[in-house]
Amino acid sequence: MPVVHVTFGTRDLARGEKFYDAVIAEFGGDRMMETEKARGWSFPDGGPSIGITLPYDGNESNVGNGTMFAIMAKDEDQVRRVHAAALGNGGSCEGPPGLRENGFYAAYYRDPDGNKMNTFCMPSEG
Amino acid sequence: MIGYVTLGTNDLARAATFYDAVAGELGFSRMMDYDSFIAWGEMGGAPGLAATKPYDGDAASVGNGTMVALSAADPAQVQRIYDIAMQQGGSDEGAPGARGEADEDGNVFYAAYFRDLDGNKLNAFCYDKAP
Repeated sequence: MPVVHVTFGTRDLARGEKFYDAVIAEFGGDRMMETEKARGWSFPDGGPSIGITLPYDGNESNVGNGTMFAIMAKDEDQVRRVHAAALGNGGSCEGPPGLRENGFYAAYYRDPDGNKMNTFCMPSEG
Repeated sequence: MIGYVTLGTNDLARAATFYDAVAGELGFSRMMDYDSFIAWGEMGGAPGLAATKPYDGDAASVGNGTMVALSAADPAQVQRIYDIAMQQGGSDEGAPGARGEADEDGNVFYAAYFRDLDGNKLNAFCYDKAP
């Protein structure tokens, strides 16, 4: 699908940007957008950008159950580094790096606002 | 690179009808189809957009601040996507129209905002001359 940007809500932009600066840096990405209410990051290999925002309606952000953004990694080592960066910057673990039933090597985590993400790759041989 | 995004649903069959219609307008179809998870997109290509029953078995809910933005070809397609979303039972979050000021080439951010039947927020947009 022509998904070009996805956003999560945040209650604390400063806290959120510290988390995403660290996680996206593991992919070699950069912050590409900064407004009073939102931040956005892009990935060097293209694809949708990711952002956090104070909600448009002015109410507090919350988390959607069933909502998840999945970021593809180049290898298992990068999956582990991303997961570690997430947990080291205010994120929480939702499933440690490892092989999953769907055949991917993946790690699941939440950002400091509780939004769910994963990072995955095809498993290495052997 | 973002590989896929999922949105929660409490009625996967209903969500499937909605996203079949929206994806069809954008030239995509289902690439994964399971009992609890359906994804639209292209394997190894464009990012997948999936409707899923939540992993924890609880009811799906909507995140305030969460949105998925879809790129449209032009304002006419923004209008068609919005119309399809409304016909399929989605709700309006901002009718098709120009947002903000045009750039020096006369192109403007042209977008429509809508929600799926579970309340997940999406938009469709393009940068183009306003119609």
